[in-house]
Amino acid sequence: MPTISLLVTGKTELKGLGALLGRLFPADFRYANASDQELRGFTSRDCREILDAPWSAESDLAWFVSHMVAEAFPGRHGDPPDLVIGVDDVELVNAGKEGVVVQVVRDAVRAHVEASFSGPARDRVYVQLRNRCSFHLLKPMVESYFFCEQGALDRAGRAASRTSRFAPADCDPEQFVVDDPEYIGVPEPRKPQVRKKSIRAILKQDWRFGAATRPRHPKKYIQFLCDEAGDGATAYRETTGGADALRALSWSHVLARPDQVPLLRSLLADISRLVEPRPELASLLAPGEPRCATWPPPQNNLLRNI
Amino acid sequence: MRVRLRVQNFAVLRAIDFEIPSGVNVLVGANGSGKSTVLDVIELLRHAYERGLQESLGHHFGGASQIRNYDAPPDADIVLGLDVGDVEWTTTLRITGGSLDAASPETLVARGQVKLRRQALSAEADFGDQKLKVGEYLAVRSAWDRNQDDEDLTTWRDFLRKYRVYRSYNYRLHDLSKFGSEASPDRSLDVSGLNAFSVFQNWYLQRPYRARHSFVCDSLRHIYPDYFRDFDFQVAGRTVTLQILTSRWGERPIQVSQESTGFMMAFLSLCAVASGEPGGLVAIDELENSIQPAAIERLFECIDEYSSTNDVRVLIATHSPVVLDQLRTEPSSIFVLDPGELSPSQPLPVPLDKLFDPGWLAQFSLGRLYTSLEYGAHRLPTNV
Repeated sequence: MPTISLLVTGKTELKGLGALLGRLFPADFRYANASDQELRGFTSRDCREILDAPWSAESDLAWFVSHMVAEAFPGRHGDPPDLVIGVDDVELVNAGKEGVVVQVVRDAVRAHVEASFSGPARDRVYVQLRNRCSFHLLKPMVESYFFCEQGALDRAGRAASRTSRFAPADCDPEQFVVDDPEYIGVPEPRKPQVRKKSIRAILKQDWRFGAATRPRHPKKYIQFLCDEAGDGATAYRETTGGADALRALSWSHVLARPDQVPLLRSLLADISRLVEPRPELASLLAPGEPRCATWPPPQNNLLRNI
Repeated sequence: MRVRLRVQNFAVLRAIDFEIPSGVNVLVGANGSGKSTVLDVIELLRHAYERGLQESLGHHFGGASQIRNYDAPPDADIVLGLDVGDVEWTTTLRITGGSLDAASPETLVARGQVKLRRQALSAEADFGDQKLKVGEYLAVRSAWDRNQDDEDLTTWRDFLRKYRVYRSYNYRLHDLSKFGSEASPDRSLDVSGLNAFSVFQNWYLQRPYRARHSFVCDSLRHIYPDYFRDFDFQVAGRTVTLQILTSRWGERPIQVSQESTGFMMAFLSLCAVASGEPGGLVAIDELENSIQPAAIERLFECIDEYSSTNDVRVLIATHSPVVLDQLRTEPSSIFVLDPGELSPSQPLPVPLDKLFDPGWLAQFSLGRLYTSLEYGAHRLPTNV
């Protein structure tokens, strides 16, 4: 069975994305994470800064694309998978600038190939990348898609006393905005006086921090929904509730509205090109191929889709 | 010359089949994977050759009661083997009631022919047509004692006797810096490092060894180009110590007791390598301790050059990404005590270029792959 190798930047995706895709294309591919570990994402930084900065082979972006290229050619064990898919979140800082994210990935891939290969090997790598390697985005982050299905929020650990005010009928989850006064109205607490490293962990886990981004932040909203007491001690964990929510995410709910989730549809359109057309798949993916930064492939595509 | 260590069911080592190439090689693995034990086993054999297995096991492992690998069946053989050139030596340890049986079976095979055989529990060994009485020593020792012109025995013995293992965490740096070394005729560094200044002076004073002194000084200038100039010896009674001439302090030398830990660790590591004999093996556990990363890079370069020009094998057990990055173009010199995606019964260690395609490895910093847990790490649960 052909293999799709996934390169992801989050623990939730590491534990759940392969299973999720496997439910849509069950008999077509075997899904494997390229690594036991998630890679460090590069989109927490404004990608316009990356575009303007001198190229650094030590950056997280360089590390990410090195993995994409190396998985596709020659493969970890010299036997490359049939398709390598790198997936990162857009993150709020890059929302609306998906084209820039794609551009920095293209630039980084080219820089890596030019630095690592020469002569005919380089040509072979470019061919291999065009045929076997893709890059896709989740917007603004993987948790957005949980809001398409009430059950996903329950699996994520939603507290019984909390109800999501996000209505997918009114708003594309990839344009996530929520106006929940119980969530928005909570004042930001004072930063605790603890070690710097501990502060980072607390700020990441406690939805009450970063009030300015709260309305557009699906993960913080899930953290809120999983916080029974409202004191920031959320029950949401990416590796458990997050992974459970993602693995069993209802495709029919996520794809219910044809004009929504174009970036996720782009990933599905990419994989669909490798499988025999099937009526049930066609109806689920209707009305056809999306138009966004990662689909359709441009004329001068470097990877399969960008 | 081929050097191969074979171990089965010994301590934390389930199955080791380690052909150690010439030059500098690196051993990596998670904590508890057995890096230090691999280095210890060769030391154990060296001591066993000199003092017998019983005493050596007691010295290194506190006796025989705990040496069986926990994953091994109770009746599984504990096998130690060391091949040098065409000579393959093997012993099987028999443990009864927590004690080592008095006579462990031993064989020495040269070019496919058995030259020496000692049966289990026998007080004698057959060497050609000789019947050798074997006391508490290894049969191979008894054989060499009576056949010192035998090339196979000599080759094997010489390699073992030249083996040295240095553990940077065991250097008694404080005592050395504070009290100096006692004058001695030593020409190789002791595992404690306490004789370092005396050895270093002997190298300087004795022409055949002067190149070793020069190697250490030249290397320190390479590692600390804006700092180190030279050493001066200070001798008081039977104590030898050093003063350090630096670019920073002009003609005013500084005492070693005032020197940085990192500089002294680099000095001791260089002395350790320079203590190696041609055709021998020097092992260093945790070379990187206390040393600044850029200095580690240069220290490695110096050791690499010394190893290749003096035919001294060097085996470094490390957790340092900086050391691993020095072997970016030679992943076959990195040996991993973890089978990765290979069969769990795969003998260890595995050269890195057998765990991953060399073309794949070539696209990465090997140090960062190590810190990213791609190899030599505790396995994490996977779930796709």
